[in-house]
Amino acid sequence: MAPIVPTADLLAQGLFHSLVASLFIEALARSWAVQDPAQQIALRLVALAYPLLVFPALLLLFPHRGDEAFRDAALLSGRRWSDVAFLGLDLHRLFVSSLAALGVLLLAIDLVALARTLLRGRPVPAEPAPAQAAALAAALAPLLGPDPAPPVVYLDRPLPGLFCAGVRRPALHVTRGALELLDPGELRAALAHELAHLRRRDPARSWVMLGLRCLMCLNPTFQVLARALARDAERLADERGVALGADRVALASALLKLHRAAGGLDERRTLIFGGALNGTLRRASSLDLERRVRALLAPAPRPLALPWLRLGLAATSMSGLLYFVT
Amino acid sequence: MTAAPQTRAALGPELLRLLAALGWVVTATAVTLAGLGALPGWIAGEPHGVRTVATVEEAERLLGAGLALPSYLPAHLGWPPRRIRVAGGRGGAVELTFQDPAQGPGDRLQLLQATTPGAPLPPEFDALGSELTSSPATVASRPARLSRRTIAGEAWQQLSWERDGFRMVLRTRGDLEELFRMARSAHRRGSP
Repeated sequence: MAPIVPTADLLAQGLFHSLVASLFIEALARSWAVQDPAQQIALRLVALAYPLLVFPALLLLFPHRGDEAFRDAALLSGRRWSDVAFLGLDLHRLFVSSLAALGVLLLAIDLVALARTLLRGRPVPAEPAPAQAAALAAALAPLLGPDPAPPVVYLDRPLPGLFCAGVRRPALHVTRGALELLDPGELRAALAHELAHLRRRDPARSWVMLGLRCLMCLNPTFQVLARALARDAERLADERGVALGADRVALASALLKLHRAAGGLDERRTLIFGGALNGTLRRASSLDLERRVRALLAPAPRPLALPWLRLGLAATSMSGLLYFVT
Repeated sequence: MTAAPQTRAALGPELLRLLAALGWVVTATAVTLAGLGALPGWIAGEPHGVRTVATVEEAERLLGAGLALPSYLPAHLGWPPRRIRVAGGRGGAVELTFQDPAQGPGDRLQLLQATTPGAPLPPEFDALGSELTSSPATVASRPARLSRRTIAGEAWQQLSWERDGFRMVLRTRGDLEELFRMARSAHRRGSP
């Protein structure tokens, strides 16, 4: 059994802390029955901030946590797991290496998909046919109110697509396929959803999140949390879109139509051995959509009372518990 | 976070529910963590606070002190020790166990020492068994105690003394003269 170097020890501690923080926040969100996507995001951000801010602060402010006497009195000392061997490897080391590998894999899956999108190049804007331009304007007008119209990029593609992109100057992108596929009510609902993304500047947020994910590339919990936050952002855009004037059922219908139209069109594998993951990822994506549709068919979620107290208690109790985990 | 509009009267029960759920989640997490923390000890059959380490150097690092080791060790006992256990972290105690490859897997020699002057050896290192006889002895002109014990049905000789105020114990299933010779040759690593 080789002695564990302090870097591996710190890495293991950071990975385990992130895992516990995230499970703790998820358990708390379920116990409090948090339904509102904005509150869900706020709670998950607490777990996401843990490895970035709280864990380094614990190390800097409380160096005595590294003492053997503290480790002996701690709730859990990860180094104790190095005393237990499995197939000739100590479990502590096995834990660190497998989690770190999983973190890199989760990031790589998304980076490869992103690289493929970037390699396709910037979408080429086109001029919509007059009838399509009129349909777009008619769908957008009731959503805007007194606000100026956002930039809209029309893409002459048969694949149905409706998305918001651009960091400094985000714009709505609509393809010919989407205009042909969706009826006026669905188009308005889908545009309201994208308008909500645009007003939250979600494209810029997603790039910041990607940078943080690269920084935390060895941390699988961070990768999973970031993906969960992206899903929450979609749900939040659904609800904000409804608040802008979208019909809940029309939005659910638009989501289903767009998902079905996109499914099966892209069978290329993103990774070596990606075939094994392909079906799983597709099912996960369908499951996310199913949840969003179910949420849209139900009444609007009610936010819980005392939100700031909940956030404060969640953050302090989580940090307090993890103080005793070395 | 946006909050639902609530009347002041409705906030009381909501606050209670909030705290009850928080208490439940904190307790469940703490119990799970404590269970996971105790699991390696259960698997390895070690009490909490005792760690098995790989090398004498790692034991010294955990204890924050140099160990006193016999410079004389009978050739039939293999070096390094077969098992090194540390109790109590910094300022705690250590147990080194040696085996004789020619005699099979049983333990042949144990060296126990505390690394804080005047501190007793921890109960985790107490050998179970019964003391048969006990008599005063000397180790390099220091008072000591020699006892005969049966541990797990085997007869052991045990020599206890203090070296510079540090409690030391040597137990052997071998020769008594070798035991005294090892005790006399014990010196702190790095010192002559």
